[in-house]
Parts: sequence; structure tokens; C-alpha cells
Amino acid sequence: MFSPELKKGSVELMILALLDDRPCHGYELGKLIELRSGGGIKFNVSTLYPVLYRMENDGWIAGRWVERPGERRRCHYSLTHKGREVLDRQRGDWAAYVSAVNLVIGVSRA
Amino acid sequence: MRDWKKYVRERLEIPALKALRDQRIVEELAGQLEDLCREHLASGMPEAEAERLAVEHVADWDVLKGRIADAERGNREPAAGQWVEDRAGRLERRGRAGEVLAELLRSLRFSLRSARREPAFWAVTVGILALGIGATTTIFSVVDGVLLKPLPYSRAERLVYFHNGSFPLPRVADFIENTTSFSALTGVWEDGVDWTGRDQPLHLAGALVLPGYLELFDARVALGRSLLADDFAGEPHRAVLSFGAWRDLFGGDSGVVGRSVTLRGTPVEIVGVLGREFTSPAGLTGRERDVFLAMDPRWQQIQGPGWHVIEVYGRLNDGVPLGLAQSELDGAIARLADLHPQLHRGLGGALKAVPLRPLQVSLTGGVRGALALLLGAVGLLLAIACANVANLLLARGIERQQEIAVRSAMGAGRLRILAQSLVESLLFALVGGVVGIALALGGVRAFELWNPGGVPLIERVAVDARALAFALVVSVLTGVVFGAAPALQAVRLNVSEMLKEGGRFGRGADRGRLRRALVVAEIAIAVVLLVGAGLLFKSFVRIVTVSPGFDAEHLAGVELRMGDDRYGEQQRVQFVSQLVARVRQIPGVRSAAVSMSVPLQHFGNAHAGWWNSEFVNDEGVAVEQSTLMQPVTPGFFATIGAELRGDDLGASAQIEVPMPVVVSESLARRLFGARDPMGLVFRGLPQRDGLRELRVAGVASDFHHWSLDHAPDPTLYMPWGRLGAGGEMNALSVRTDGDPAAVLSSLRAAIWELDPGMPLPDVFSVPQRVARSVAPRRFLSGLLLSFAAVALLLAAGGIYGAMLYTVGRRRHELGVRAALGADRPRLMRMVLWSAARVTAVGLAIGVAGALVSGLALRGLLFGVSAADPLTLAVVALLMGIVAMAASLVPAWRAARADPLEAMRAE
Repeated sequence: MFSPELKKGSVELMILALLDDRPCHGYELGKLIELRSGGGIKFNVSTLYPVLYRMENDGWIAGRWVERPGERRRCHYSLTHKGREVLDRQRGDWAAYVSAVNLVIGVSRA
Repeated sequence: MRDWKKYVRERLEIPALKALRDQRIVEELAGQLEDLCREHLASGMPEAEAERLAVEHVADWDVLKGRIADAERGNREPAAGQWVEDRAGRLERRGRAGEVLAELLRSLRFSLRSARREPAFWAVTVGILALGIGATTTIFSVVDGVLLKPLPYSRAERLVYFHNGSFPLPRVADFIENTTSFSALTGVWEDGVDWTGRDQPLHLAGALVLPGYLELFDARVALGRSLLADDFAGEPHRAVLSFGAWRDLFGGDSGVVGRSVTLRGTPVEIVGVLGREFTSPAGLTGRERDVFLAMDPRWQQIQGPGWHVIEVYGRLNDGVPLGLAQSELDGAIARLADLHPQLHRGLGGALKAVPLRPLQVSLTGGVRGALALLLGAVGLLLAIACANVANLLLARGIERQQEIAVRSAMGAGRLRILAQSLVESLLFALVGGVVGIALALGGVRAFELWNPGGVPLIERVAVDARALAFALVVSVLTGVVFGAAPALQAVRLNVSEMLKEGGRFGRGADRGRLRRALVVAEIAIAVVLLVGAGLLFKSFVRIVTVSPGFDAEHLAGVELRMGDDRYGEQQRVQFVSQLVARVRQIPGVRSAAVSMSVPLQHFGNAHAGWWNSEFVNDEGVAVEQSTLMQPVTPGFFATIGAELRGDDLGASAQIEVPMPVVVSESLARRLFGARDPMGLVFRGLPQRDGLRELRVAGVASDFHHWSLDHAPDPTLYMPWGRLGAGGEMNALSVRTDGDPAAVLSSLRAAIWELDPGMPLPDVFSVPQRVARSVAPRRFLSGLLLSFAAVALLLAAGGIYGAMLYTVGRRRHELGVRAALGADRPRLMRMVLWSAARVTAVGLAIGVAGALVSGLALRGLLFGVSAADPLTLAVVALLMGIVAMAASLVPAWRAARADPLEAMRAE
């Protein structure tokens, strides 16, 4: 698996990107990251939750408690305006960073 | 399925989280764990296995707690915090000791974060502590270098000095031959020697040493050889140079060994150069000798009992304590007194005791008192700083009580809260210590620059490892001392009481008492310091306003070196008459005269000169009175501006019989009581066939000959031509119209015009010498005044803080009073009255302390009693005014208490 340092640098960007599609609750976010990465990236609760908590504190995402019949209530997170700005910036940064690193380490785009 | 909320709640305990959020976090985490568990169950896993996998998602709850707490504080860079949490978590699993360490680690991190949150509070606290620790470390460095570090000699603790000045050579021989306590016993005559026979005559600091002297002080040679037994025979004719003299006077020329130079008018062969690291005891007090001449113990020239010139040093035998050596010496003196009464008995036949002193004690005796005083003073300053910081922390503790209460309620143990509080205090103290060391570096430098000289061993003073260790210990101790009060306060906090009070904390009467006690202590200590500084300052003022008894403002002096090698009695008389005539022609010079010494020429050494004590008065009564003999040329009294009644020993005095003399007022009283001394004939001045007949031709006023704080000695003045011209010790006094410093170079030129070969080591203006003689007092009182000023400031800050706190605590009560019709002046009076009571108690204790500590000051005071009522009154008044001024703002706040606010609070 990938090293925690590598994952730590991108976890916020992944969460923002996922929430850009639709609001999700915490467990769902963990599952989506695992699915979309083909099982390559997994976060356990004790890593993911504090990140969500901090992003909410910073006003990038907003949590809302949603109750559905027959289910316990869950906190659904959605992207805020500020979060969308951060996402745009981080996406650009990430792409530039990855291509720069690729240039350095000699990986060519197939 | 297990109750996940309960599971999470049991493991999660995060300080400083709002209850609502806490709830949400628990629910959210529990929900996610439950979802995980359900997912595994859905895949057909047994329930126990599914739960285990879910639980494994949070391997370390402390780490999770740390991350959430970091997120809560908006800390986007949790790496450090997380590192600490990771380490703390691991430590905790290692048992009891690990838990304590983990707690310390967390406390440390918490304290560091608090520094970021409250920079102003930290700056003030660290600043106060740095001031206290810095001042203490500075003075400690000085005390350590001067009094504590061993001298740079092997087994220096066994070196002793024969106290009570200098001894005649035969007496030293008696000591050497009749004692067994010393493995070495030797002596030195530290005398100036003139180096002539070159273009410019030069005056060197010389030392005529007895055999064994250089070895006693571990002298090694860098060039040539040391002094050997053969060298110590006959006239001093072999010498070694100090490294400094070789470098400065001979340009480091290695050909100097074997060269002959003319010292004391005779050829002396230089046989070696001492190593750079050698320092003689004189060198340790800043008077290093340039040249060490071998002195024959049987040297005829100074065998007489009147030559009190040899200073004696010895090394105690192993296992012989000082007391034993002392009693052996006392016994030897008692035995020898019958054999050589002229050496070992004083006037009236009393034994001349010789106290032995450890060398270091004897070298530093003059400054011991002053340094101990300074150390005591900075200690008090540090105590005030501690009280002040304790008070600040207590005040902040009030604001933090909610946080502490919440943490207690959440299960933080007393140990944890105590650790937290103490760690923070220690951190304050250590940071204060580091800044204090920086201050001490500057402080020691300033001390070296500004100290007026006369501090022995000053070049050994440095902020070194010993000083750093001292600063560390002091920091830790202060941390514990000022941290104790707030820590106990935190632990004793009654949680349920506080939570019930709904956030209005701090009704504790205890805490109020503690804070008042601290303020009382601050005031008391400040008063002690102020009184001490005040007394020393008053002494200083007394001294500089002492009337010297002569006209010091317009006086210059020159030491005339007319040594026996170059001058006979006739040549001296001739030279002096030419010189006085020549000097009077210098513009700005009013008159000039020659005597044995000029007032204040030898300040600090109240023995230099010629003394006699045997007299028989006009009625035939023998009078014993230690008296300074001062041969003077005509015009001496007018030149120095002393009052004279009668004749000034003019030309006719050279031949008259009985010899006309002038007596000082104090000598006249001692010899003749209340009778008018003019014209009376008495006897004194021993010569071979008994005492001379002398006639009182005049009476001179007493004046301060040695220094302003040395009482005038009875003095007998006689014609220089008859009794002064025969001796080597002579000096020129010159009275000027304006500043005497302006004529010094003309004086030098005039003397060299008449005798180009005369070295002139001491050409001085008396006002400058007066300033130098009072400089140590000025320095000491200035330093103490600055300490006292800082103490006053800190105490004022303490009162201000305490009153502000009291007003804050009683805001509600004050509001109610205002609502009930109390007017503003009345509320202000209430606060001021309470400040006045605290101040009065502090003043009372402080004055009592000052009276006690004044006893330690007595030796340093001049013309003022240690219980000087005026100083005490001024200090009390000053402290009172400052205390009231510091209470004004809190009182004004009290007066503005808002009745509505009190109502709302209900």
C-alpha cells in the first residue's frame, strides 16, 4: 500500500473532489476512495474523521444531519463555496505537481 | 450488535471541546464504526469478527483524540502535536513511569501552545524572571570569579598570608626558623624600581623576592632560567622578567637573557623570562610586577627593625589546619619576644600578633563585604520577581479555572493538573533563565567596564559553565517556588462547587489571602532594598560633601623619585629649591612646596609614610600616640590650602633650636589638652640619644590626608630641610588657579628640564584622585539604587495586579453597593483603603527587615546610622505613594461599577 505521508498530502483533495459530485456521509467517503482507487487507497476511521472535522472547522465542507425512515441519522457533508475554490486551486496545483514530479523521475505519459 | 456510542464515549475524552460538539463527534464516529461492522456482517462474517475488524480501524484512541483536538484548534499543521501524541501514547503503555513521562510531554506541548495564544503574558512573565535571574547570575559570576574559584596555584587552599601588613626582614627570618607548620615560607618586597641608563628613565613595578617565592607560586620560565640559590647573595643583582614586561618593554627579544640593566642604580643581570601563565598574588589584584629580583635574606641594607617591607606567604604542611599553624606561630612569637623584643613587641611591650589568613581571603578581604551585599540584594530582587510572577500566574489561574474544572470533571487526575501547572512554571523559568543568561553576559561585561577598579581577580569573572549551572539551578528553583502557589491552587479547585457557581469562580478566600501575602512580601522586600540603597546613597553623599580640610580643587601632586642611588641629601635640597622656583613660573601655578606626601596621593593605603608614637609633653608626661611625620618646605600649608595658626616653618626654622614644628589640632589636643600649644616645648622624634626637643611654632587644621572617609590622623610637621631631605620619599604639591589637571604636562617638562633622568610614575590632579577614591562607593550605591528601583517597580506592579484582581472579583458586590446608593468617591475609598492596609503591613515587615539587615551594612556606611530615621521615613513615604498610585486605576474602575450589570448577573 501507499505510505501514510503520500496519502496525507492528497486526502483533502480526494474528499473535496468526491463531494463535488454529491454530498456523502463519512463512511461513504471512505468506501468511495477505496472503490475509485481500485482498492489501492484505504483510510481507516481514525485518519479520515479528524480530516473531515478539520475541513468542516475551516469552512470547506458543511455537515448536515439527515434522518431517513428506518435508518439512524447520518451526517452528510457537502462542498461549500469556499471548499469549491480550494478544490479548484488544489486540482490545478496537483496536476502541475504530478507532471513536474514525473518530469523529474522520468515517467513518460503513455 | 454492541452499543457503538457507548464504546466510543468510553474511549474518547477530549479537553476543551464544547459539550454539543463532543456529542456530535461521538455520534459520527460511532455511526462510521457501526457502518463498517454492518458491511462485514452483510458479507456473511460472524458478528465477533466483524466487530473486531471495525474496532481495528481506531488502533490508538489517544492519537485520534490528539488529531481531533488539533483540528478543533484550527491547527492545520498537526505534525508536531501528533508526534507528541504518538510518543505519549506509546509511553503510556509502558507502565507507571511511562504515564508520568507522557503526561509531562503533553504538558510541555500544552504550555508551548499557550505561549502562542498569550504572547503578551509570556513576554511580561519571562521578562520579569529574566531580570531576576540575569541580575543574580551576573552577581554570582562576579562572586564566583572573585571569591569562590580557587586561585591559579597548585593546591591553592593551603597557601596562607601573614596578615597585618609587612614585616622587617629579621622578623621574617624568625618566623622561618621557628615554625614547622609550613612546607614553604617566603616573602617579597613589592617596591617600585627605577630603570635608568637609557634614553627615558622608566619606573617599573618591582618585586624583591626571598628564596622560594617563585616556586611557591608555581612560576615556570619561558626563557633562560629561574632564580637559583647563588643568585640570592649580596646586593640584588639577578632578576627574571614577567612575560608582560618582556613583551612590552623588551619587544619580546629573546636576546634579553644575560643582559645587564641598571635597576635601583646598580647593574642587574636578567637571567630569565617567566611563563605567560604565571601570575603573582600582586598580579591577581591587578598590580603585576614587571621584574622579580633575588633578595638575599641577609641583605644588610634592610636588616634594621624599622624596615616594615616584607610580605610573607607560606604553604601549610599537609594535614596541618590553619588553626594549628596559628597557635604554633603565636607560641613562637611569645617565645621570641624576649629574645628580640624590638621585633615582636609593640609599644608598651604588648606582643605583636600575626593573624594567618588563607591567601584567597586576604586577597579579596576588601571587597568581600560589598560582594556579599550585592549577592544578598540580587537574591531579594529575585524573590520579588518570583512573588510577582506567582501573582501573575494566580491571576491568570482565575481565567483558566473553567478549563481546569472541565478537565477535572472529565477525569484528569490531580497529578495531571499538578504536572501541567508545574511544567508550565518550569518552562517560564527556563525561558526566563535563557534570556537571563543573555542579560548576564551583558551584565558581567558592564560590571567589568563600570566597576571603578580595586576588585581583585576581576579578570577571572566570566559567564562560564559554573555560572550557567548556577543559572539553571536558580531557574529550576524559581520555577518551583513561584509555580507552587498556582499549582496548589489548581489542584485544590473544588470542581463541583465551581460548576454549580455557573462560571462565576474565585470566591475562594484562600486565594485572596495568598495573593495579599505575596504582595505584602513584595512590598516588604522592596522596602529592605530601598532602605539599604538609601543608606548607601546617603553615605556616598555624605562622603562627597565631606570638607577635606584643604583646598582639594586646586591641587596637583607629583611623586619625586630621588633615590639614594642618584641623590644625596645635599643634591635633594638643591634640586627641591630649584624645582619649587621653576614650578612657580609655570602659568596658572600659584605656589608649590615639597613634603613627604601630598594629600590623597596614597589613598587606599593609609600606612604609607613615616610614623612615630613616642612623645613627652611640656609637663614631662609620656604620651603614646601614633602620629604621621610630615617634613614640609615653607609654603606647604598655603599651597594645599590648610588653615595654619602661627609660623609655616620658613627659612629660620632650618637652624633654630629647639626645632620649630607645626602640630595638627588633634595632636595638640592629645599632647597638651586644652592648653594653648603655641610656643610650648615638648619632646619627640627619636634619635640616637633619645627624643629631640621640639617647639610648637604653629597649629594646623586637621584634614583628610588618606581619603575622605578616613579620619584625619594626628600629624607632626617639621622642616623638610632638616628631616625630609635625608629620605627617598618625597612629593611636590602644586596649587593652581584653575583646573590642576591642566598643568600636569608642564610639571613633567619642568622636572625633566632639571633632571632628565627622573622617572615620573605618579603625576596627578587631586580632584581626580578624590573622584577615584569615592568611585567604589558611587558604583555600589548606584548598583543598589538600580536594584531598588526595579524592586519598587515590580512591587508597584504587584499591588496594581492584586487590586485589579480584587476589584474584578468584587465587581458584583461593588455593583450592588452602587445600586444601593454608594457614590463613586466612596467606592474608590473602599479600594484605596484595602490597598493601604496591605501596604501598611508590608511596610511594617519591611522596616523591621531593614533594621535587621542594616546590621550587615554597617561596615559600608559612612556618617549615617544603619537605623537612620530619615532614610526609613523617606522610603516608607515613597513606598506608600507608589502603592497608592498603583491602586488608583483599580480604584477608578471600582468607582465605575455598574449596578445594572450586577442585576443582570443575578
